[in-house]
Amino acid sequence: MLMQQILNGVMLGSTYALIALGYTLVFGVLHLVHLAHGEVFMIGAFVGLQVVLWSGGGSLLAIVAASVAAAVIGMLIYLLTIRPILARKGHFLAPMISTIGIGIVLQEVATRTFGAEQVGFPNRLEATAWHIGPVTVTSVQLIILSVSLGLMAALHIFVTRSRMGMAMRAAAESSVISHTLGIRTDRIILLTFAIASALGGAAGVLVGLSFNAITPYMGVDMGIKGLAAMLLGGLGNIYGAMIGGMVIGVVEVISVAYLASSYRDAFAFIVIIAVLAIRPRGIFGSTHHVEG
Amino acid sequence: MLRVENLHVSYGKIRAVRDVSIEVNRGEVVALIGPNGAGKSTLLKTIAGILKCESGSVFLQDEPIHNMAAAEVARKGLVMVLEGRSTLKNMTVIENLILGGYMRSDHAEIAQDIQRMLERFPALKARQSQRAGTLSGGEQQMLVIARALISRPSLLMLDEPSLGLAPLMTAEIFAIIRELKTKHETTILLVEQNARQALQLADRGYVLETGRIVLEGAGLADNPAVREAYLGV
Repeated sequence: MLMQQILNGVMLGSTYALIALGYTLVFGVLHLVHLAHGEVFMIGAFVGLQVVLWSGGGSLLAIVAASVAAAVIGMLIYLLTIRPILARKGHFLAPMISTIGIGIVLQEVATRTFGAEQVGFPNRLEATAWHIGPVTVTSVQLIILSVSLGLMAALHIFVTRSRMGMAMRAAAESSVISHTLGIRTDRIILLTFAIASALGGAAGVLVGLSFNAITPYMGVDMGIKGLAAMLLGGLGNIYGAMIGGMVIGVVEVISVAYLASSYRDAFAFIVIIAVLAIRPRGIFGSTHHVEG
Repeated sequence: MLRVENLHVSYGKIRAVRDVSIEVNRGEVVALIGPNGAGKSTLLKTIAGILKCESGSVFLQDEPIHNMAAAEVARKGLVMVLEGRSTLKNMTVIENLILGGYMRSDHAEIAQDIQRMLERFPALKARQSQRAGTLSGGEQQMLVIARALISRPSLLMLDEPSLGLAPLMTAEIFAIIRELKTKHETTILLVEQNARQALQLADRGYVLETGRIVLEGAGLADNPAVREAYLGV
C-alpha cells in the first residue's frame, strides 16, 4: 500500500517538477517569477489534446506538439510582454504584473476557443497494467514517469555538458561576466523561455493523461504547485525544483491516502510552509547571484 | 590597435571620466594608474561596452565600438578581466575554462588551449572539477586570466588583477603578465593600484586623476611627480 502511494506520488510529483523547472530556469536568468507559466502549461495540454483528436496520433506526438507550441508561446510572452517592460527599467514588480496579465489573457482565449468545460483525452492507450509485488503500474503511469524523468535527464545533460547550457548557467550567475565572455545573454534568455515553456507544455499533456481532465483554469492550481515546488527546492536551483516537485507529489498523494482527501492541497502547503520555516532558502538553497 | 578619443562618462550628475584620449598599440603593455575613484575602472568598463559613454569615441583596429553591446565588443577580440575574482563561482574550474572558448568554434584547438592552461597553472589542474567559488583568491584570479586567454583576445584589459592578494600571489600575477608580454606578445591595458610594479612592466603609462589624464608616456616611473604621489619615494 505505502509503496504504491509513493509510486503514485512520484508520478504526480514528476509533473510538478517539470513545471517547477520552468519557473526556476526563468528565475535564474531574469530574477523574475513568470506568473503566466501555469497558462503556458494549460495551452500545452489543449494543443496536445487537439493534435490527438485531429491526427488520431498517440500521446508521444501530443507531447512533442505541445512542447513546440508552448515554446513558441513562451518566447512570444517574453518578447512581447516582458522584454519591453524590462527595457524601460521601471519598478521591479512591473514585469511580474505583466506576466499575470498575459496569463489571464491566455486563460480567456482558451475559454473562448475550447470552452470552459472540462474535457478529457480520448483513451487510445491500452490500459495495460503490470503487477510487480504489491505495486501496480499502468501504461499511462509508465509514459508519464519515463517522459518526465527523461526530460529531466536531458536538461541535466544540456546544462552540464553543452556550451549553450553552460552559457545559460553563466547568464544566471552574472550577466556582466557572461558579456565579457562574449555570451549574448539576450539570446540565452529567449532560449531559456523556449526550454522552460517546452517543459511546461509537455507537463500539460502528462497531467491531461493522468487526470484525464483539462480545463482553461488548470494552469492556476498547477502553477501554484510548481511555484511552491521551486520555492521548496530553492529559487533558481534546477535540482531543487526536481526534488521539490517530487516531495510535494508524494506528500499530496500520501495525505489523500491516509488522511482526508479534501485536505490534499492544504496538507501539501502546510508541509511547504513548515519546510520553508526551517530552511527559508529551500531544501537546496537559492543560487547565489554574483554581479561582477 | 585601441584608440580612445575625447571620452566622457557620467554616473547621473557625477562626471567620472572627462575628455580622456588614450591609445594602445599592438604588442604593447600600457599601464593606467591613479588614485582610488579616479575613474580607472569606469574607463575600462566603458571601453568594454559595459558602461555607455556620454560622448567621445572608441576604435578597435579603426572600427568604432563605442555603441556596441559588451558581448559584441568581446566578440571583436577586446576582452576585459573584471576587478575582483570574477569567476563563475557556481561553476567548476573546467566549465569556467570551457566558457573562455565560448566565442571560438575550433573545438579541437580550444581543448588544446584548455590543456595548456591546466599545465601552466597546476593549482587549477588539481582543482579542475571543483566549484570556482571554493578556490583561494589568488587561484580564482589565475582562473580568470586563464579563461580570458582561452578566448584569444587581440587586446586584454586587466582591472586591478592583484587587488586584495597576498604579496606572493601578487608577484605570481605580475610574473604571468610579464610572461604574456615577452612570450606571447599579448597587447595589454592594465589598471593597477600597485603602480611601481605596473610601471616597471609596462611600455608606457597614463596617470588618471579625477577623471582626467594628467600625465602620460614612457618612463613615468622616473617622473618626480609620479614618484612622489604613487611610488612613495
